[in-house]
Amino acid sequence: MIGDNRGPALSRVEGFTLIEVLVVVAIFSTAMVAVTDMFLIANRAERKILGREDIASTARVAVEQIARGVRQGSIDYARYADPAEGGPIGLTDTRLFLRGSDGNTFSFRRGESGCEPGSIPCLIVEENGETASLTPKGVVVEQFTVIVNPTFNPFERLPDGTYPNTAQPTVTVVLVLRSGSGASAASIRVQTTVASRAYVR
Amino acid sequence: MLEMIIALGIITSGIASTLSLVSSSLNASNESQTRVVATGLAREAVEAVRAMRDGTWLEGIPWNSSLVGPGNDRTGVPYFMPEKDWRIDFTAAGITDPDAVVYQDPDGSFRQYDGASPAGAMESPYRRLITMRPICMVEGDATTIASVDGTACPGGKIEVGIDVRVLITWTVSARGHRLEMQSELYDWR
Repeated sequence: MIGDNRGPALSRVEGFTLIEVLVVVAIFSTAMVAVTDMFLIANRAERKILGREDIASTARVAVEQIARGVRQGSIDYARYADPAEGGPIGLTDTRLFLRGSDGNTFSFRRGESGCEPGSIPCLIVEENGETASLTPKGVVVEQFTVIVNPTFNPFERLPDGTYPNTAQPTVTVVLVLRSGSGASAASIRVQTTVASRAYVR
Repeated sequence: MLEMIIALGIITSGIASTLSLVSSSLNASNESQTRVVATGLAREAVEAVRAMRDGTWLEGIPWNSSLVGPGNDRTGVPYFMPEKDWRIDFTAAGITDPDAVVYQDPDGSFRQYDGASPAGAMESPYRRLITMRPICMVEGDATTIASVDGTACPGGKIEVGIDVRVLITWTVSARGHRLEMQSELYDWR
C-alpha cells in the first residue's frame, strides 16, 4: 500500500473544507462592512449633533445679547437718521443700532470684516467703533433681519408739540445660522421680539 | 449551525442597538434645537403683550384695552399690523385652532396672521396661543392681589394686571412637544 502511511492519530485531525472557509470569510466580511458603516454613520451623526449644539448655543447667546441690549438701552433713532449709516430704518432692516444706558452706542449687523476664516459672513457687534464677531468659527450667518417698530422715535416731540406715534418700541430679530456642509450640515432659524423698557413719556 | 445563528444574532442586535442610539441622539439634538426656537417664539408673544400694554400708556387709553377682545375674550394669537405694530387676533380659541399655526413669512420671519396667510407663507411645525387671565385686587388692599380663573374680575375687585400664558406646541419626528411660558404684567409703571 502506497500513500496511506499516516498513523492513526494524524488521520483523526479534521480540517475545514474550502466551502466552510469561504462562508466564514463572507460572514466576517459582511460583519466588518456593517460595523464600518455603523462607525461612519455614528461619526457623521456625532458631527451633525455637535454642529446643531454649536449653532443652537450660538443663536441663544446672540439673541440673548441683543435682547439685553434692547432691554437695558434704547433704540438709537438718531444713528438711523445719519446718511453715513446707510439710510433710515426700513420696515425690515439688517442693522440694529442701540444706545446703552451709559450713553455708549453699539450695533449688531451681518458682515464680512472681522469674521473667523471659513465663517463668513458673521454677526458683528460694534461698540464705540470697535468690532468683534459674535459667531464662532465654523458658524455662518445666513440671515439677520431686524424689524424695528416704530420707525420714528415715539419719545421725541415734534415741532407742533405732538408725538409721531404711540407705539412702545419693539425689536424683532430673525437669525439664521448654519454650520458644516453636506450630510453633516445643520441650520437653525431663531426669532424673538423684545420690547424696550424705556418709559420716557 | 446553532453557534452561527447565535453569533449573527449578537452581531445584529449590537448593530441595531447602536443605530437606535445614534437615531435617538439625533432626535434629542433636534428636539433641543427646536426648543430654542420655541423659547424665542414664546418670549416674543409675552413681549408683544408687554408692548401693547405700554402702547396704551403712551396713547393715554385704558391700559388693557388692546388686551381684551370682543365679549371679554382673552385668548388669541399675536400678529403684526402692516406698519409692524403688535395686535392680538382673538379668533383663535385653542392651540388646535387653524389660527394658532405659526407660518414662515416670505421675508423669513415667523408670523401669525389676522385671517388667512398670504401667498408664499409656509406652515411651520409650531403653533402658538396666548391666554390671559385677569389679576384682580380689592381696591387699596394689595394683599388681595391674585390672578383669577375666568375672563373678568369678580364683583368688588378691580383688574390691576394680567397673567400672560403662552403655549407653544410643535412636532419633531412625529412626536409632539410643548412649552409654556408665563409672565405677569401690571398697570404699574
